[in-house]
Formats: sequence, C-alpha cells, structure tokens
Amino acid sequence: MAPLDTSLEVTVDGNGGRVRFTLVVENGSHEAVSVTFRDSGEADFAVVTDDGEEVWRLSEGRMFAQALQPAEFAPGESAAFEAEWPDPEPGDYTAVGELRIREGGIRAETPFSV
Amino acid sequence: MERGGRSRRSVLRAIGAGTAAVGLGAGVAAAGDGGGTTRVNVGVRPGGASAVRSAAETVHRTYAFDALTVSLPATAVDRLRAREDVRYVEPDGEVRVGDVVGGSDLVESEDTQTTPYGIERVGGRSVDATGEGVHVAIVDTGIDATHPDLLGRVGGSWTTVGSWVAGTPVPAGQDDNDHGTHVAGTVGASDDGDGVVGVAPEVTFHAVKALTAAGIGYNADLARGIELAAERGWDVVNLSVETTSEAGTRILRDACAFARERGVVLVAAAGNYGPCTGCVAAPGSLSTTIGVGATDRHDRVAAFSATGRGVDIAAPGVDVLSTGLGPSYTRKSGTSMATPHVTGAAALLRAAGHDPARTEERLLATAEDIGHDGVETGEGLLDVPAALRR
Repeated sequence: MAPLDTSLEVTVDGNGGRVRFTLVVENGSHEAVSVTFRDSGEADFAVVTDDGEEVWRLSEGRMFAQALQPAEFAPGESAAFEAEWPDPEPGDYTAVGELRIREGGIRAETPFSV
Repeated sequence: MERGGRSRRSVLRAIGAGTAAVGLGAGVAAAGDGGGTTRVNVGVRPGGASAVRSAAETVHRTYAFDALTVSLPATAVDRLRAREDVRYVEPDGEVRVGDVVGGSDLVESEDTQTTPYGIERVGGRSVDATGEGVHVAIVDTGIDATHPDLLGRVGGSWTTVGSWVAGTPVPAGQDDNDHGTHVAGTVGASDDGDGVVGVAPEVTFHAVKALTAAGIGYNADLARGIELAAERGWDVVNLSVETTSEAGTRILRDACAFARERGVVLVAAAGNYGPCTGCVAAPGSLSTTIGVGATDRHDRVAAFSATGRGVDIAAPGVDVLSTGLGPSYTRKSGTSMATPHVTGAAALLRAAGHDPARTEERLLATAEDIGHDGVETGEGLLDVPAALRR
C-alpha cells in the first residue's frame, strides 16, 4: 500500500470546555490507495498524558457493526475525521488519531494543552 | 477479499460522511475529573441503587439485572466506585452521528433464487428444517421489513438507541444502515424462489435497533436489546457487533448472563481485528455467548477474523451475499456475516425441540474439523445437517 499523509489538528475552545480533533488523511501519491476499515468505527482518537496514561478514548464504551468497509483514496484526495473530547481536565497531553483499517499504520500525534 | 469497484464519487461521498461524523453526544468526561456531567453504566448490589439514584442527575434506565444507566456529576464517579454496594461504574462512551460508509458490492437482483455459498457450505440446503415457530432477535441497525425476502417475517420492531443519541430517529426497528438487514437475510431469507435464501427461512424475526445509521452504538443500548430479548422470551439473539475496549463491558456481561439464564441462546461475532491473537472482545468473548469466527469459500480462516479465547465455532464470512436495503442484494465481509449462519442453525435446533443448553452443545460438538487451530475456528465449521441429525 502506498503511504497516506496524515496530520492531526487539535483545537481547544476559548474556555477549555471542549477539545476538537481533526485527523486529515491525504493521498499525496500518483496512485490510488485502497484501504479497508475493520468495522463501522472508521477513526479512533485518544488522549494520553506525559506519563503515558490514556485518559480518554473515543471508542470507549461503544460498539461497532463487524462488517468490513472498503474505501479508496484517489491521487490527491483527502478525508477528514473529527471527534470531540468534552469536559477536558486542564493539563498537558498528546492526542493520537488513527484509522481503524486493516492495513494499519495510518496515525498522527499532536501535543496540546488545556 | 473482493473489493468493490468504487467510483471516485462514491468514495468522496463515503469520506464526506466521515467528515460529518462529529461527536455531538452529551459526552463523557474522564472518570473522576473536575467538571461536567458524565453518563455511566453502574452495576449494584442490593441497596446500591438508591445511592446511585441520589447521586444521579438523570436516571435513564434501570435494568432487571441490577444495573442502571445514569447521568451524574463526574466528581461522583470515584465516590460511587468506593461503595461496597456498587459493583462497577463504567463510562458509556460517546456516539457519532453520520452516514454509513458504504462498503458493499451491490448485486443485480435476479428472478431466480440464489443460494449464497455460505448457506450451501454449512449444509443449510441439505435439511428440511425451516425454524418455523422460533423467535430470533437481530440486535443491530434494524431490519428492512419491506425487503421481498423478509416480507411478512418481522414480528416486532423495537429501538433501544438511547435518548442521548443525536440524529433523526427512524421508526422503531427500521434499518437506516443495511447491516442488520444483511444479517437477517443470512439467518433466514425466505425460501420463495426469488432473491436469496437463509439458513432458517421460516423463523419469526424481531428487529431491535440498537445501532445508529452509522453502525455505531453504546453498550447500554446493546445491553437493553439483550434484556428485551429475555423479557420477551425470544429464543435466539444475533449480535454481529463488538466493543473494542477492555473496559466498558461489565454491563454487557450482566445483560448476557441475564438473558442466558432465561433460556436465550446468544450468538456473537468474534470481531474483525485480525490478524491478532487473544483479541476477541465482548460480547463474543463472553462464556454466555457462542463466539463466531469467519472463514472464506475455500475454508481458509479470514485474515480479519479475531482469534483466541471466545471463538467457539466458525462460519463463512467473506463476500457473503445477502439482503440489502429496499429490494437490493449485497456482498459483505466480516465476522458480522459469519455469525448469522450460526444464529440460523441455533433456530433450527430450537425448532427441533432442543433446549438452549443442548442447542449450544450440538452446534459445537457437530462442527466440522477443517484443520485449523481452536483459537481460530473454535470447534470447527458449522455443520447444520450434523447438528440436526438424531
């Protein structure tokens, strides 16, 4: 599989009441890239502390229909996956965003503070 | 697997749906943090429920198996956890709204009936049994009760999706994804000379919508669907869903134990997280469910099929042809697609007079050895004629 470029944007709103994550995945190559999502959860997001403790994960407590979902990125095509961490506790963190695909390895990390 | 011929337009639409899939739910704060309200599932011992009610801002649900779903201040979580009469407090997650990402190959409708290879492979056409009189719940995205192959077959329609889920509600039990309809078709699409045919073509379905149009749901909503099956006295429940986290499954464990004690046979997907070992998640991993792994048309273990403790049996789950929304037919892959073969077989055994324990035992004891490790395919490939043999 040709690589996909990833970036993870983190937006903390004015009063620190919520944090938004946007994982942008782009096919920067000249060939189409096929991926297969493992189930109905397309992207997952997590927040970890500097000590490596995971304090939030989007998929926690959720369930997903277990059918594969193939998709294709045309050359130059990009996709954005978003999530929101409500009621964050102030602190320094690293956000992790990744696609739940069989091919694996499509992920990005971004440090942020609340 | 066979990949669909996906046009750029369809991919863009699919990805667009992903973009729209923003978390809008009430949300959950990290347990024990300083602010906000959090929705949790709480298991209690006698007397514990009143403490939970006192702490709660909203009591959403009370379950028959000594558990509640409530919204409470995040600061109350640790205090409740410390109580002797509280068994667990676990977050109920956050749901996403948005459209389904299509991943199916649409198949032309035909005037003659096609027997999907999986139905053939497990011997579904070699028996006269039809499952008539048996009640099967599909706890999923709903069922399209207007599909010609399911017409007149859906006895009751229910929705257990919580009030906290954003999005436009659809009529009870109606499928706005297509996953649940596909699953139902494999369990028991009608043997009517048209479309496809399932393992148990005369069972009565009950559509329990616990998953949103995006195919995502909360553990609390799945738990309520399982509890409903027990309350109504249905015979078999199909659970083509998985949670991914280790935590957050106590309420599923409680719900499945409750239903199993009341004679409901629970059949659940092993999950699509392979290749991996020891990675079967709830509810497939629970001792109260029959966990189902996936094989392909050549009896190979599907690479995506999760392996480890919890896989009890296997069935075809790669490029499975079944019913889609409207009058359509689609091919899908996943342990979701393997599971309903076993659900249909369980229904045939219940119709033949076997009690729930005997039904589970016969399904596993008669499975065909196809040469794989137990962690991959459990007791082997589902063998419907062998399971029904006297």
